Amino acid sequence: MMCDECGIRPANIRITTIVNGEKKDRNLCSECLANSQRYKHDFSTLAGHLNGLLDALKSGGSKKEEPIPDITCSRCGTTYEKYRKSGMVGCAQCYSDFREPLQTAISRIHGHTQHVGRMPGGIDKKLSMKLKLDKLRQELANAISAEEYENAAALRDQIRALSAQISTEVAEND
Amino acid sequence: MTDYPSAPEQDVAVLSRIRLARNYEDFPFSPVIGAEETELITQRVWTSVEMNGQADAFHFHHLSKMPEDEQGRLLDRFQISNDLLKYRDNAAVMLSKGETISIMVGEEDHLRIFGLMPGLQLEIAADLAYKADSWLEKGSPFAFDNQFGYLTTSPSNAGSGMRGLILMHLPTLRAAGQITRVSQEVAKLGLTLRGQYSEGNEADGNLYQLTSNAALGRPEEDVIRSLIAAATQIIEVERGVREKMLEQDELSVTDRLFRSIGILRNARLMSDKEWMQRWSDLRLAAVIGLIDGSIAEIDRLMMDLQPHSLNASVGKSLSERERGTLRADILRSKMTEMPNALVEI
Repeated sequence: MMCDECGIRPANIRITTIVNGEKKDRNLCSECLANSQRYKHDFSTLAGHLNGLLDALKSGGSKKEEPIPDITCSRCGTTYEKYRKSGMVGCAQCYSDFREPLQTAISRIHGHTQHVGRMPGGIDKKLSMKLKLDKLRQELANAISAEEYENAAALRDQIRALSAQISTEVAEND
Repeated sequence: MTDYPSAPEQDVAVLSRIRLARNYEDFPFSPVIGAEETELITQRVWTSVEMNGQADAFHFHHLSKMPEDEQGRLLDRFQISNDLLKYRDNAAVMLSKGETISIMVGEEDHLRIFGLMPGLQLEIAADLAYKADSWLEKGSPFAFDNQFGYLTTSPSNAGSGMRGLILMHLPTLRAAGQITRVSQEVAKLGLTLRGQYSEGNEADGNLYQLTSNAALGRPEEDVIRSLIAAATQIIEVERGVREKMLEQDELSVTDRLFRSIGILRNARLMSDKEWMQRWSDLRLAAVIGLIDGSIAEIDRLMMDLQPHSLNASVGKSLSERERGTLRADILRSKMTEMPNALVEI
């Protein structure tokens, strides 16, 4: 059966709504379901539900669930299970650590797993150093207020080194 | 966008918008970080804007320091996303003075960038968004993966991180019952057509947004081209049906539109819902030359007379009745600037 909405992909979800006692069935593909629900619901939680639904359908419609890979992001601690529930990852590293199962999910959403198109351009060294310095200063303030003096000392050294580097660069350019 | 009194295909296309989603590599994503880190990212973004010599062209606002109705006004003008308001406690927005670039910080992704143009000008909207993108990436690398492209909080936005939107006024296609058919056609191109202000096909003001879906695996230029191609076809069909409708029964069409104009010139109470219906008639009347009015001004009026914008204009929250009165008052005054054209039927 084809999707009622787009008519181009097979329908894999049936939605039954009852409005004023009138029952209405719609057969949708996962993409059209996501589109039709996006503005009604928080899409992040919907993505979680969808993953579950699709898995259930994939295993022949039975309720037997595919085991969820037991992976935890090495940087932010987000688990793959948490991503499955919320539809959101925690940081850039999650994409590397969850790469294998994520490829399947991304293929379902986009129909592709390989980015084509724009790549990031270059970095402006001077601006980049200034921003790094801003970040280190903030981290130093945080470390001091948390009384982590050892960490604060290390940060102070890094700030000094980076400030010196910036001054040298500025002098060289002048 | 007020600097653009006229724009291409403005008889049908209201505006074109490109959205980019970006995250900095060295911070976890928005749902995981707190106010301090978001503020640090905000300062980084502003420093990048300054160091690119653009600070004088932007207004910088912390959402938490802005009255809610002012935030709503930005939404009414399509300058921020709905989702930014979910993160309003920590989020910030940098708006270009010409209202064509909006940099949102602290939404679902660290950065959401809008390029915004009136009419059908999606390529220029994209140029603007990518200009801001290049200022911001110079300072600190964006999270990027050779396979998954630009990395976003929700993998549904990964890849190019780009989504295009063209807002269209389709009163005659709607009246002819053709919206569902058009939606099905554009779905075949991986695009979506939906009502701007309501779900499904019952759109207030006959405003529909055409958007691109998937963002991974297709070059940005391809997506932009297919959006423009689809929009161009929809515009041609809408124009064709308009012409046909006028050919068949010009008297009924002009009668209906002039009745709405009469109401807009005289009403003392104009509800939120009625305004969108009358606005649609007013816009069509200006397009087919029944009144002398600028379409850009009529579009701006549509945005400025939305509930939040009206509240923001008087600095307090109005009741429905007060809002209806104020809207009618403004309309009676504005309509004097849009006299009836000399039409002989």
